[in-house]
This record gives sequence, C-alpha cells and structure tokens, in this order.
Amino acid sequence: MNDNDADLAGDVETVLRAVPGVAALHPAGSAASRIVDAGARALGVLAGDPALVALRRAGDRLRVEAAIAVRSDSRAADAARLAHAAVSVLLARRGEGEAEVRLTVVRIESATESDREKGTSS
Amino acid sequence: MTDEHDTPDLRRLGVEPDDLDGHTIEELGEYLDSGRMPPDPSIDDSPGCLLALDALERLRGLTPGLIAADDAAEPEADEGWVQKILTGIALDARPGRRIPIAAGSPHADLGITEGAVRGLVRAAENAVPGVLVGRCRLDGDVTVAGAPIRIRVDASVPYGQPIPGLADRLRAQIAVRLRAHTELNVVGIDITVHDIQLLPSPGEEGR
Amino acid sequence: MGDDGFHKTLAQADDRIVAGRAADGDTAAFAVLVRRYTPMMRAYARRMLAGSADVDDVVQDAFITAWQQLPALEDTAKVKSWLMRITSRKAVDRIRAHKPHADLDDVEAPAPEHLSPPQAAEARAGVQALGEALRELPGPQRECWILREIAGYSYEEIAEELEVPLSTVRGLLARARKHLIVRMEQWR
Repeated sequence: MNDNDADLAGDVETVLRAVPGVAALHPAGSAASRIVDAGARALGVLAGDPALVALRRAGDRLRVEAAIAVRSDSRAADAARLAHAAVSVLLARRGEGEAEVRLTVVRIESATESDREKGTSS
Repeated sequence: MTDEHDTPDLRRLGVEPDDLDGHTIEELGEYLDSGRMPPDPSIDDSPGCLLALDALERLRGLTPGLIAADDAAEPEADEGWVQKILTGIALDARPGRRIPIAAGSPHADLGITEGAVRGLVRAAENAVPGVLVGRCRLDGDVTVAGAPIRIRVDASVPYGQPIPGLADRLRAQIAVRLRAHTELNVVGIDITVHDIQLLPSPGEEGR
Repeated sequence: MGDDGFHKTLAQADDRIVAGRAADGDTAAFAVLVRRYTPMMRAYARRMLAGSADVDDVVQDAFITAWQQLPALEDTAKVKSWLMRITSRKAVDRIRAHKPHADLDDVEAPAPEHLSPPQAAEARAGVQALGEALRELPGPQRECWILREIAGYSYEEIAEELEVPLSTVRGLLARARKHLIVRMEQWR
C-alpha cells in the first residue's frame, strides 16, 4: 500500500467534510463504486475499514471516488459540485490535476436530522 | 351397486374404496377442492362418499382455527429479536440507479442515487401530517440527463380529511424537494392512495 | 406530529405501505414487518419442523432473504403470504439438511397406541385435536398438508417446493387427509 496515496485519501476526506452542505461521508462502496467491489481493496484505508474515499491508480490515471450525504438545507446538486471543486483544488495542488473524480450523493438528510446536527454542533 | 339400509347415524366413516363405492380419498379431496364441480352423481349419491366428504369439510373448517391458535401461542417478537434480525441484514440502503448531476468538467463524474431520491420523496410526508409514503418508483431512464421521469408513489392518508387535498399537498411537497436536490426532468407525480388510517387521537371516539 | 406519533402510525400502516417502504430501503419499516409477522412465521415453522429447535434460525433466514428480495416483490400488499412462502422454503431446506436422503415414498403413520379416553376426548377442542393429529403424521405427509392447507400452495407449487412429482404430492395429501379425518372422527 502506498503511504502517499493513503495520506491523499485522508486529505480528500478532510476536504469533503469541510464542504458546506456535506453532512457525512458514506463508504465509497455504497454508491456502487467502480473501484470498491467484492474482493477489491481500496487504497488509503486500514484493513477491514470500509473505504470512505477510494483511490485507484491504473497506469498513470488516478481515480478518486466518494459517497456523500448532504444536508437538507443545501441543494444536493450544488453541494456535489462544490465538493468536486474543493477536491479538484486539492488534487491540482498535489500534481494530480488529471485525476478522475466520481462523487455520488447517496443520502439527503431529513430536516430533523440536519436540525439535530445544528443543535449539537459546538 | 350396493343396497344399503344403514341410517346415517349408525354408519361409520370409512376411508378405503370399499367404503366409498369404489372412490378414493384422493378423488374426494380433489372433488372438494374443485367445489364439487362438475357434479358427479356416483359421489353425490354415495352415502359413504358423503360421509367422507363431510369429514373432509370439517377438517378444512378447522384449519383457520388451527392457524389462529398457533399464531396466538407464539409470543410477540421482543426488541432483542428485532435488533438481531436488523443487524443480520446488509443495510445497503438500496442505491438503485445513478442519476447524473451536471458537472461542467471533463474529469468530474457527479451523481445522486435513486435511493437518495426515494428517501427524499419519503421525507415529503413530514410536511403533511398523518400521511405515510409507501413505495416510490422513478419511471423513465434516470441515467440519462433530461429524460422525462414520472414519479409514482403509494400513500396512506389519515381518516377524515379530503383525499385529493392531501394528495395535492404531498405532490407539491415532493415536487419542491425534487427541484431543490435533483436535476430530474419530472413530468408527473402520481400518488395512489390505498389505505386510509384511523389515527388514535385523545379525546375522540375510538373507531 | 412528533417522532413518537409517526412511529405509531407506521406500526399501524397497512402491509402495502410498510412493505413498500422496506422495499425502498427503510429499515424502520422492515422492523415493523418483523414485529408484525414473527409470530406467524414462527408458528408456521414450528408446524413444519414438528417442534425442532431450529424454528428461530429458519425465521431469521427467512427475514434475511425477505430483505434481499423485497425490491422484486411487485405487489407489496401480498407481503404476508410472500413471507409465508419464504418461510416454507427455508423450513423445507432445513428438513432436507437434516435428512438428506429422506425417502419421500411414504411410510404409513404408526397406529396410535391407545385411543384417548372418552372424557379427555370430549374436553379437547377440535382444533387442538387437529394439531395433535398433525404431529402424528410422517414428515412428508405433514409438510404436504401444511403447504396446501395453511400456506395455500397449489399442487404444482408443492411439487416444485418438495422436488417431487405431482403424483407423489397427490398421494401424500390423500394419505394425510385420510389419517386426519380418521383421527378427528375418533375424537368426536
């Protein structure tokens, strides 16, 4: 396993969580990921943990995948675009500007869930 | 041809062909299954057969009682059991098809799952109290941007309110949410109400 | 309407709505189905397995399969009989697992050692008598009768489920009915 890629995946995760409108990350496989399927092991994760951000290199191509839940008070399509923009900036800084980024919204929170989060956030 | 002088009270149930004027229980069972149609005089005129048919019918009549008694003898499922079942199933939240989101960049592949949209549609019920959304289907090729999509929803509504009004409100709520979160070209939202629920309400008469 | 009110409503909603939500992935709705139909499925499995200890395993297996296959159930209003069918399949699998070479060619039911004394017989409700008579049947006859009379399978469906020819199903059913009506007669 490539330590650099493991770090990169972690950084992508951090960036995604910071995007306004993104409520949570779900295992990348829950979006019918092209990378994470039965028997496949995604880079950048500990053995046994479900991959939250999946990375794969094929030749010189890097592919990044993630599944996100969005807040009810955001617009899912906008949140997905914002998330993509944020990840692209990060990847460009790491010299991975050509990477393919696949983001899937797998859940939209209900208003009560989003409210609860607002209430408990410090 | 037998020349029977037995009265029905004294006659005992027999289940072999000798008792059934040559018929078998298998035939009689199937005769009963078919509602005694078409009528067969060799059965209908045979006292032995009629006795056996009565017995078969009594047996059938007992079955619902057996089912009810068996069910009643089983305890209710406790929460430990329910949790055991839930943890045993793979909660993949049924993603369904992937619906594209416009990205404006060649290296971006953005989408939202059908499962997310179904959850969204279901959440619309929170805005129409008492209404419950059942199954939700997206008809049309959701994987193609701009393809016309019909949303079909099952719903149950609370007793006492006009159904069209509730359906319209639910429809409006669903439409708002779909516009906010997806780029689907929704050409129609069909709501089918199957069930009218009597909700318990303090101070009102029970049903 | 607060959360509690909602959960109360879901628990009271009809099968079509609850199973429809569960088919779409709502686990709370699936939990309602589990609570609603566990007694029925346990009762049914218990009859098929003749009181073996596997009842809960069979029912749990049935629910796992139900969760996986719910999306394919077109008419969610029929979820009750659908669950019964899955339970049947799991029970038959379990029975076969214990007796892989079970000879479905019939064994006559052993004659009861004594007839019940008249007083006890009169006290017994017909339903209870039927339950006991069922337990006396050899496995294949009992399974056939339960699939037909309780689960409502057609003869062809029973043949498919038990993997035997139609003629065997007819024979098993006839023998079961014969035994049962004779026993019920003795207890009248």
